[in-house]
Amino acid sequence: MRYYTRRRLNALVILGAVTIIFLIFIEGFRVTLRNPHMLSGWIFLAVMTFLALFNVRKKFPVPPLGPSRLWLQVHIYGGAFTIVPYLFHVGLKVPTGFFDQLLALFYFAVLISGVVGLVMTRVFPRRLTANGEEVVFERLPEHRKMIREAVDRLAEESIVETQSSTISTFYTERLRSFFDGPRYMFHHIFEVAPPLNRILVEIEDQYRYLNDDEKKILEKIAVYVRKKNGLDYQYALQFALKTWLFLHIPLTSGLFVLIIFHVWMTHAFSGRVL
Amino acid sequence: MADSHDKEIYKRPYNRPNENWVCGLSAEGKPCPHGPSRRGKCAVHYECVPAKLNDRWVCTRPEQYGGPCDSPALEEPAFGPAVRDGVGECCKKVHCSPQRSLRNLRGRVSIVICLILVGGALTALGGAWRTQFLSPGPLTVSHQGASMASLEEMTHGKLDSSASTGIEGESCHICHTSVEGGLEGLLSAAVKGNSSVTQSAQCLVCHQDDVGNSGLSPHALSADVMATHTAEAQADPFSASKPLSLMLASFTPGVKLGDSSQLACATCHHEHNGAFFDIKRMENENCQVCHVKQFKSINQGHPEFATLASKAGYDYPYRRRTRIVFDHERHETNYFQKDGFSAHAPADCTSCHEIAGETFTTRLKAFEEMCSACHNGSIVSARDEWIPVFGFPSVESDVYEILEDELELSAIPRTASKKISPIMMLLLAGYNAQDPKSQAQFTEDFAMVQEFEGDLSGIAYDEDPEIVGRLFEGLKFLQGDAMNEDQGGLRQVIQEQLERVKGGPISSGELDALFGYPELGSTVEKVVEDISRKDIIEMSGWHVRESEFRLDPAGWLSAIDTVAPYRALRDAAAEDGAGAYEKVLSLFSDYEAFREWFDTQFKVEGEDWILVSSGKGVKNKEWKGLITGMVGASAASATESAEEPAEGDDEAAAKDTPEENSDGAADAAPDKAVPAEVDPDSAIHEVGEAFVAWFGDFRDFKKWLEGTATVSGETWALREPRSMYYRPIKHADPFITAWLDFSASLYAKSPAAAMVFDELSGRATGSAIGACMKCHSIDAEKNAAGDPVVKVNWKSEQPIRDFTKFNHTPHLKLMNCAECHRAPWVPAVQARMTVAKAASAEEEAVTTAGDGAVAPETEREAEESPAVEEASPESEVSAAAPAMAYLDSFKASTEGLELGVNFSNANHGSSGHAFVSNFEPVAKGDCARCHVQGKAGDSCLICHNYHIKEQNLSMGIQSLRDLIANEPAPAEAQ
Repeated sequence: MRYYTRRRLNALVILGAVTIIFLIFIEGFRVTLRNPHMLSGWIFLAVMTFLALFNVRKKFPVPPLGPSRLWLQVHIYGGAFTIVPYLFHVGLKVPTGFFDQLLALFYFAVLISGVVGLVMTRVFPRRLTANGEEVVFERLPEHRKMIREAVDRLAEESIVETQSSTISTFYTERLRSFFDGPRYMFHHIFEVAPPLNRILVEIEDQYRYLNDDEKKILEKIAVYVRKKNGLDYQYALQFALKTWLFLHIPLTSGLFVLIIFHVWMTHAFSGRVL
Repeated sequence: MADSHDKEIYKRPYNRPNENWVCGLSAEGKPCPHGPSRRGKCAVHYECVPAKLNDRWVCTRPEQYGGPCDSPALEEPAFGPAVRDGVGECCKKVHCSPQRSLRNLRGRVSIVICLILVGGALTALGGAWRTQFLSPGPLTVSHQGASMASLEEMTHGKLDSSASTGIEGESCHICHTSVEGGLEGLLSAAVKGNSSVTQSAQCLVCHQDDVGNSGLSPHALSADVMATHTAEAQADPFSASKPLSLMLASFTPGVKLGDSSQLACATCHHEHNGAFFDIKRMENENCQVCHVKQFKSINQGHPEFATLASKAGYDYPYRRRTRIVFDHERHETNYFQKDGFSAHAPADCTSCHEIAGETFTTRLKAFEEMCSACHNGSIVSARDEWIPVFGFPSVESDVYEILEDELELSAIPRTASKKISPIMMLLLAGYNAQDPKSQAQFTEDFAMVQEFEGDLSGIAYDEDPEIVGRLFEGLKFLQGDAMNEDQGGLRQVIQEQLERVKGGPISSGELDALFGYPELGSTVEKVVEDISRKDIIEMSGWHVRESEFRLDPAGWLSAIDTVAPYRALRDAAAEDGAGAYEKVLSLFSDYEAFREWFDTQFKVEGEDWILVSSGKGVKNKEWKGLITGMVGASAASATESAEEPAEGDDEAAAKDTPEENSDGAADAAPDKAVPAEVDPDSAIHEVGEAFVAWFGDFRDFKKWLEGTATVSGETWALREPRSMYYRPIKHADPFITAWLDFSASLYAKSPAAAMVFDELSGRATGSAIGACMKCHSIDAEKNAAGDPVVKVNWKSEQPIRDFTKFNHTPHLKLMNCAECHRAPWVPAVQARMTVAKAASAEEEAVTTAGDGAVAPETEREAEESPAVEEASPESEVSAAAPAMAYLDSFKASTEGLELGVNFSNANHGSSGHAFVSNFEPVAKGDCARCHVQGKAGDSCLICHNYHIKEQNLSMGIQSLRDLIANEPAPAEAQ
């Protein structure tokens, strides 16, 4: 059995066991007329707090708090477990109050962003590796600039060497914007309708109007187009990998604010029932 | 070494994304090696930091900037670093605007979102729409709008305008009492729950009546009652498999109770779940978690309906004997089979039982609809019996003499009552209740009255006349107050004395019922005057019907016994014979003879006595002549003269003086005081003359007679202005029921009240007034405070919240009554009903044929109806009827029926639950056929109530005798 398979199996067994224990207590509280919503609520908050500590753990690497790998695994499966106490907390129905709906909205936003992030962190690295050379995200602008300058020079040289402005005009009108910055992020992330082919078709369409020297220059430009497309692919996926946390973490912070408010109101309104 | 290391560092591009700021040139692919400062300031102003290599400064510009600026490979190489003050300085200045790193931006976004949420929440809390913002959901319909507005008014004394219009508005505090106030109140409530009024108390403002005084206790029962139930359940052997959820519940801490073993309303009833949420819905496991006996469903483990083995015989639904004593079997199989009563037999169950009330239980129809056709006659016939209400008892003449002479009591009225009435004894009990000493004395006297069954003469003769004297003294005070308007009169006397016995106030309505009629005059005389008015008589139930309250021979003897001269003559005649006074004594002492003589001689017109012979008013001389004329005559001749008065009387009446009386009446003239046959020296002479003097004085005699009786018409009526009587006029007579209820409520507390109850109910004599207790059973219970209470069941079982409930309506759509209420005799009844229905159908066919003729059966019924009312069904068949198990439930012993009170019965135990119904009990299987999941449902709450009132529990019924015996001596007995 592969390591990852065994790890997932172990985690699922633990998740299942914890869920069963939770359900036993919830059922026990329900049957004994205790407040199962209070139990599930506090369990939910405890789990969420632990999950949030993962972000803290990343900022404090020094104390021996266990490897981040383990924290991540706990974060992933703990996050999945929160669905159980949440559903029992709201009574397996859609909340009807305005504040409760806001709270539910934030929770599901955090949950979905986490799931999306998990999928991306599992899928995108493979796609990046399969796509070719991996470039550090922070260095992508430098590479993009080098390519653009190189293409600029080719376009200028084509005028000097061929005494024709066909390539430079084509470059200016059709390709310059492509080289100016990251392009086609959505297409790269979801790998739909690859724009590269369309650009290359346009370049091939120019061949009929060019002489041999111009064709050589345009072929070089086509090479840079492929390189730039590769950089855009890298940029799109790495950008997504870095920015999904822009949703996940701020929403988690907001969720905690709402949870604290919710706890406050719950205790205020449930005071002195007997 | 250090220099080469620094050079390597500076050759690397800046690549530290964990910092808050990144170089602004990164986007151009030329980030500086140093990067921005921690505060986001560009720390680099040159493209490189020259390094000293050996003895010269060299350019260290990174490759992304084109490499060293003094490289010969460059098209336009620069001069390299300049040296200033011995330190190399870059010749190419650069500057950037540092950018925030993604991480930093992420943190800032988080903070912004948090601030927005906190600000929004606080704004919402302080805003007008706080309730809408915080409310977790709509309230149930019954808790919205007007109902909450009324609670607001009750608890806060004000109406919330928004609540009254059906919008929740700012109405949270109506239930959530701890959150009144702003943010400070919310904070305080979350920490301390700062309110003296609990949310459950708010619920009880409206629902107290639904759940009783112990509404927050489990099942709304007190701890003692719960402990009793629990102990009984624990003692009962039971075995069944538990549901899984209940087994899981054993891992939890169990049910959480409050400090006083109470449960908050919100424990089970969860609000804010929508307008149509079933707030009363409970799972079966929730019900069972506290129970000793736990099981899966009605089909799997539910105890049989016979419930506890220790209470065998508690058959469902016949767990206690019926309030109304009605033997279905005897009626169906016997009475209704008789020709005289079959016409009144019910067509089916719904002829008597109707489904009514919120609980859809069956309820008996009114007496007039069910019973009166056969039983009204026997109730009306009971009207011959009069109930002494207020007045003095009579005693033998000797006793009067003892009381007046030896005990020196004066002004003791003479009345016709043989015994002292229980109601007077009850009033006397109140009169003596204030003083412990007199109370103790009264207790002894009361015991004597009970022993002699109210016969005061017997007490005077056999025990001590002083007892009678003390009683008369008290009665005189009572009567004095009752006749004195300044003292409040009779109504005030009744109220004060009864309140003393009761130990608490008597409501105005209760007093009206006990007094008989609210508009009666205050004093005794006025009451008597009022109750003589026909309209009052008809409305009040008081009856002074002269034709029935006639003066009879016994009453006459009692009345004339108050005449001292007569008593003296009677006693003397008993020893030596009446002699010459035989005739006049016989005439006076024989009511029928006196009436015959009187009616022959006189005619009463208003207040005047008209002499028949003359047609004029009687004069004293004429009267005296008639009386004295009898002295010396034989009794036979006196009777003869009384029978044949016409000629002589007419002649005598025609003459003005006795001398002119031709038939010898002149011999009896007043001036001949001593008849010739009378020996003046005889012992009888003195008393005889005294009697004749009294009898012969027209004014004195007329005054006495009119004071004694109403002398008019054919029937004379005794007049007893100091004695008031009552007799019931109809079924459910309000006066009788009021006194029975009042005395029953004090049965265990006051022996005098018990005496009244026993007298009116017929327990003492075996024949009740109107025989109320023949059909209305009596319950002896202990109330919530543990005090014994005797209650007459005037009505059948009323819909109450008990542990079990049953909705007849849907069941009767699927089945008939007999499928559950099975009885061996039901087939016979069904056969009769089938015949009856067939006859009815035939009758209907005849009627609809349009011939206008009344069906023969109907005619026969119409003819027999009067006879039916006259005859009592029991009287015809009781001799042949065998002892019935149903009636055993109401017997004191096997010897006989004791008026519905279930005394200790060796056959059936000693409680009111010792009941044998006419019907077979309903078995669990009868219900379990349909009440399973997927069909009719098997929720506990289909058949069981959670909130019940302790007083609704029928477990308190017990033997009346035991109840009284176990109680400490009542106040009067101390």
